[in-house]
Amino acid sequence: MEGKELQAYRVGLFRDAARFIKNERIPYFANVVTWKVFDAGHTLDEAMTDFDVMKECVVHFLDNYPCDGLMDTGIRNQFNVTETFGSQGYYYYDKECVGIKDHATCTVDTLMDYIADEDRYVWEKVLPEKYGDEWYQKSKETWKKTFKAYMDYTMFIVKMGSLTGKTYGIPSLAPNNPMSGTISFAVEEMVANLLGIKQMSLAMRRNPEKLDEFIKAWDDKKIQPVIEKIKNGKGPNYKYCFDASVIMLSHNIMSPSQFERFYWPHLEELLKAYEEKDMNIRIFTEGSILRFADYFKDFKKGTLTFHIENDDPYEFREKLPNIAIMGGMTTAMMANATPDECVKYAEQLCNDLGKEGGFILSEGKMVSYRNDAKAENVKAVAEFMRDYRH
Amino acid sequence: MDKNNYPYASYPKGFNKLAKDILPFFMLPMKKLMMRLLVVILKDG
Repeated sequence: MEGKELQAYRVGLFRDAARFIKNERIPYFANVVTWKVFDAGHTLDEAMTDFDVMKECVVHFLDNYPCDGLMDTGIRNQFNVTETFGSQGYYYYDKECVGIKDHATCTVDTLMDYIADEDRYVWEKVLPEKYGDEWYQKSKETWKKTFKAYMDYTMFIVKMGSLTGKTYGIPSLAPNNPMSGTISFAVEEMVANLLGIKQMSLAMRRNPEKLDEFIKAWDDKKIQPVIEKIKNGKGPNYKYCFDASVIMLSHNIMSPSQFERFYWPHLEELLKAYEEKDMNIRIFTEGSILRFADYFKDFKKGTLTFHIENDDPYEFREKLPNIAIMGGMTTAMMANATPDECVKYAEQLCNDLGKEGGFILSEGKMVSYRNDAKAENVKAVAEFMRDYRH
Repeated sequence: MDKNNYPYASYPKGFNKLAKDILPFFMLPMKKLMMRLLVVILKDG
């Protein structure tokens, strides 16, 4: 099998697992990001500034580690755009790591200005503040070169999608059309970009009404159209492993009452829309989600798949038997155990959690740093999962 | 230059002028979309 046929087969594996349908194979989703750069013999500064090097790193990974899905196809590196623009941004990198500086584009008092006219607010306030006086010195020539760099980056995304799909049969995880935007809740955008962790934490205590107002406006503008589209749509789209992929991070800084007030109503409405249409949604629940397990326990079995990070998969299965698990392999094990130990644990997870569907093996954390995993462990687990049958 | 004399400072007038100055002709019908995606990278990156 290859190309589209292999992609379709793999989509079937993911969908069966998500729906608790027994399948001869349990899929392995490689949650591997920048680790593949080191494994290919490069450093991050080489890969982040050269599309050919990054492509080589992705190809090296797929040639050596059979997987059914891949978290990152080398496209999380738009440094060519920001570096052509010529001003320091929030992201930084060196030979060994990529990071992002904590930042906030709004205050709690300007959130409504932002949502009232995002394009204007970003153009006239956010960008000039971010870049300072340099913003007003950017020449037409600089802008032209930056736009060209952006087109180069876009073409790289398309090329890598085609390569991983056609040559390696890796399916897309979920619709992620940048032209229509990904699904992001107000609280996630506030933590990641608009307010930052500190301001958000303070605002939840000191200005809850202002957050309520903004979250309602965001929901009306961004989430309700998605819900409408789901309700009017045809249901599952089998071009993809999942019908949606969402990240949950901000719940980690919320108390139960804050989660109940600021997050749950909007999350619940969206999840119910997917449930009614028998669609499958994957949620990357960063940190731990089990504090809020009760909220999810009544969803129809087979709707939700949680990609768990810090939560123990056995504890998760006991508390939420209706939700499929993606995860299980820890970077601690991938980095420190032997290949035999890793394979044995992978087999145990498959037997204990996946015999009747409901399980997709993956790493809990994004495998990013050089020492996050040993190559022989990744290879042993990948090859085991490729060959293992119930 | 500063905010008062930078030709691209304002929205939508300056933004649209920039789009016309830098986008290939065939992309102009999609200028808002193409520029918005570039802006996201410059804003969040």
